[in-house]
Amino acid sequence: MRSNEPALFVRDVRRTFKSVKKQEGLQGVLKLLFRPEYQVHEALKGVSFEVQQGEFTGLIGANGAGKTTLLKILSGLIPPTSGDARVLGFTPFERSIEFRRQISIVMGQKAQLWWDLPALEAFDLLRALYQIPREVYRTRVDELTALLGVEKLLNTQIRRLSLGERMKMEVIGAILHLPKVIFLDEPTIGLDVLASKRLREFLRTHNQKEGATIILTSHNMDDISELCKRILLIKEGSLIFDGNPKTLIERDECTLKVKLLSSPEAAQVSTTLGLDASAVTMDEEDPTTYLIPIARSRITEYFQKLLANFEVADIGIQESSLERVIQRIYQS
Amino acid sequence: MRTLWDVFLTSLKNNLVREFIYRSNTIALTIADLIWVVVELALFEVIYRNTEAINGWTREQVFFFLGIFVCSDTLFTTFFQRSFWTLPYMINQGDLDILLTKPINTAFLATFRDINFSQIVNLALGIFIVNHYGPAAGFAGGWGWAELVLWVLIGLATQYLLRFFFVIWVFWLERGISVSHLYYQLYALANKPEAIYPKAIRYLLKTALPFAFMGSIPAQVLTGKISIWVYPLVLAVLAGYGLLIRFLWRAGLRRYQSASS
Amino acid sequence: MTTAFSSWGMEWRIAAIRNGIKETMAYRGDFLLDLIGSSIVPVGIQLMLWHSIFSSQEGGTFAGMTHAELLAYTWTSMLFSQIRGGNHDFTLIELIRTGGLNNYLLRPVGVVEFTYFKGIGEKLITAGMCLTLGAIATAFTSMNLSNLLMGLTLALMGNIIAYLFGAILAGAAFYWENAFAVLMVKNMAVSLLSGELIPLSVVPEQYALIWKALPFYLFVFGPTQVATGKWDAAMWGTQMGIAFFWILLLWGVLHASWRFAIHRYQGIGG
Repeated sequence: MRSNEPALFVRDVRRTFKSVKKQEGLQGVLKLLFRPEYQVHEALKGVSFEVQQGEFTGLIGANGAGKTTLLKILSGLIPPTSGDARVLGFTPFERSIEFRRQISIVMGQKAQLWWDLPALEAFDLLRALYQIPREVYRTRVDELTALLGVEKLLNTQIRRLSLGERMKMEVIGAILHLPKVIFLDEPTIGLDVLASKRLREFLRTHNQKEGATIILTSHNMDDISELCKRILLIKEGSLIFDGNPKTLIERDECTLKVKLLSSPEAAQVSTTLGLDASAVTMDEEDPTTYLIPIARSRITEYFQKLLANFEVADIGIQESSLERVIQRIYQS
Repeated sequence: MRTLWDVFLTSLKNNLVREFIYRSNTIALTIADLIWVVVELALFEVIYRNTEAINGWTREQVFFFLGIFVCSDTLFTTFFQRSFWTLPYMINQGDLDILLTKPINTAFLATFRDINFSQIVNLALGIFIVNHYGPAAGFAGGWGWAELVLWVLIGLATQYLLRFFFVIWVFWLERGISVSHLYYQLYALANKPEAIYPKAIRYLLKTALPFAFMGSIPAQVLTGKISIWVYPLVLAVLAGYGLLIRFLWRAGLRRYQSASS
Repeated sequence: MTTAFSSWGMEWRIAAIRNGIKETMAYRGDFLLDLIGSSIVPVGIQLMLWHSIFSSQEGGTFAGMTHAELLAYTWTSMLFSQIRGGNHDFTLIELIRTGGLNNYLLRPVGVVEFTYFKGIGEKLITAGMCLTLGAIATAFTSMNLSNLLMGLTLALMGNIIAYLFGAILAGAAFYWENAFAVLMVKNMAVSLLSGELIPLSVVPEQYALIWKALPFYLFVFGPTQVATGKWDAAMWGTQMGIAFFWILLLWGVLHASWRFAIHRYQGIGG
């Protein structure tokens, strides 16, 4: 591929899944045999974006939004029903050997390393598969395991490792051949805080050092906000946001935290400010503080209304977090 | 080609490491495999204590047949059996994903993953049986041994293709795993000399379900009971199966949608 | 060690059997396909084998059995071959190996028994089908219903023995982690010594002690002899006594061996 070509090019990609509708009883079985009814599920509804080489991009969305389907299309496991998807200039579903040499996928839920073997033996098979010269391979295993702090576990059977250690080995196995594009599907699932942090630092270093393009899906927003300068937010099969996560936070509403000298009901505060009766709530941690959700652009207006109607003892602004913004988008 | 060879050797080594880790199990498996052969031999031993011949097959001929069958079956079990056992589950549960992203022929990777060394002793036993009962059965030896090796490889190829054929339906059928298991039941047709079957089944065993290539046919060719004109038939049947599987496998992969979309 | 075996109380046992039956019915297609395949094909091969043996010799008998007797044996033994065994001993090994046992050890019911009752549902359905088929067969053959029922009870005792035997061997997984092969050795031995391949009465006298000293003949050969009327009610009573003795003995060994072996459990997983 040419150096100015995007690593990932996705234009109006759609994917539908067709399945037979099952019915109960003998009649249902007979119907299934002679006149089956189908149901069509539209997992992706025309998604378009481009990712440049070396970008670290987060792919987020609620369960069933279509993230994994998109990852599977991009890694060549399934074809799109329509639209154009290209990775490093290749059409993924053709699965050419040259394409497969340059990508890698880690699925948090599926292991690729042999359960019954030590990681070192499993890595050796990957060396053979990707034809990594032995010298290079040795140095790389040493480097990567040292970075993740698992060098002493190389000769331990995979099944005897903890979940965190196993995932670190899976990630090492996936990048041993220095792929140009890496798909990470929830790599930190089930990991503790420390293990997740170490894996994140490792991924960031790898991305910077090797310039690999990384697509990360995760439900852990710490992963996304720490690693990704760009996120693709998918909801019900459509791409609804593409940009820097900070923009998303800034676009979102914030919360005013207010203490009053008198103690009116939260509903009364809501109506005075012209909001829904249930909009204002009391802070669970501090029951004397009122929480008022408002759009950023209207902060001054609400300041004035509060000062005009109540005796204000204290006032502050609570910024939204990526997690909260995403949660609100999922719920809406 | 070099990559395939390298992957094969590394896989061989890895499987050996695993067998060493579970050495007690490997030893027990070796015993189980030996008992399996002994059960087959014992069955015919008991029968021949009570009768002279079965449809013209003498005790020595049947044992010679079993020896050849054990040799090719052992090779299949050693190199492919376990991979074929897990393959339908991998397809069914979407675990083929990982293999598909590897830069190597997927069918090779899928059928050559899991090697089982416990059977090697059986190979020796098979050769011993062939050598011991061969002369009395009418096997001339000499260059016949080269022909025997060829037949063992034909038997191996036959079982590989048949087993593959029964697995491949998992791509399309929800009950594909049951179909895959059906193979083991039909396989029982292979370890008895074809002489015991009625004509129609004998014909089937040489064409649509060529289990006879694993023992019955070679035993008869090597003892001069049937002529070498059987070779074109074998070639045609195996080539047909090979092409069919190639076609189905490719169609299956196109059809493959990983289970956890 | 109260956790591997349970106390009295029928409710959970019935619930476990019910779940097993429901599970089998949910996959009835696979169940039937497996059942038909695993009974018809081997029986077909046996019948063809006997046919070719009898057609090779002029009339007469095979080890004292006529062609008709051999055919009756083969058909009847097919019914009981399907009731013997089951794969729940393999389930135990998998639980030990993968750490799945963790979930069970914390429950108030014993894993060994629970696994049995969960797996027996399928065999009970099979037994019901065998009984129906057998009952139909009584209309066309010399077999009578009371013999069939007696044979069936002996076969069910045999099923318990088969599981106890398997569960004891499954305990090897506490030591070897991967002990599937031990069960496979057992299954190989059972296939020959239970009488599902050939009637044990044709085994030469000098080897007969081998099958008589082991309980495996109670799985298929014994029940078939009872059902075909070769063994009378008194013999059935004796064999039930022997089966009961084996159950007690194996139950004791199972308790002792697991009590000892569970200390080696590593609880892998998580």
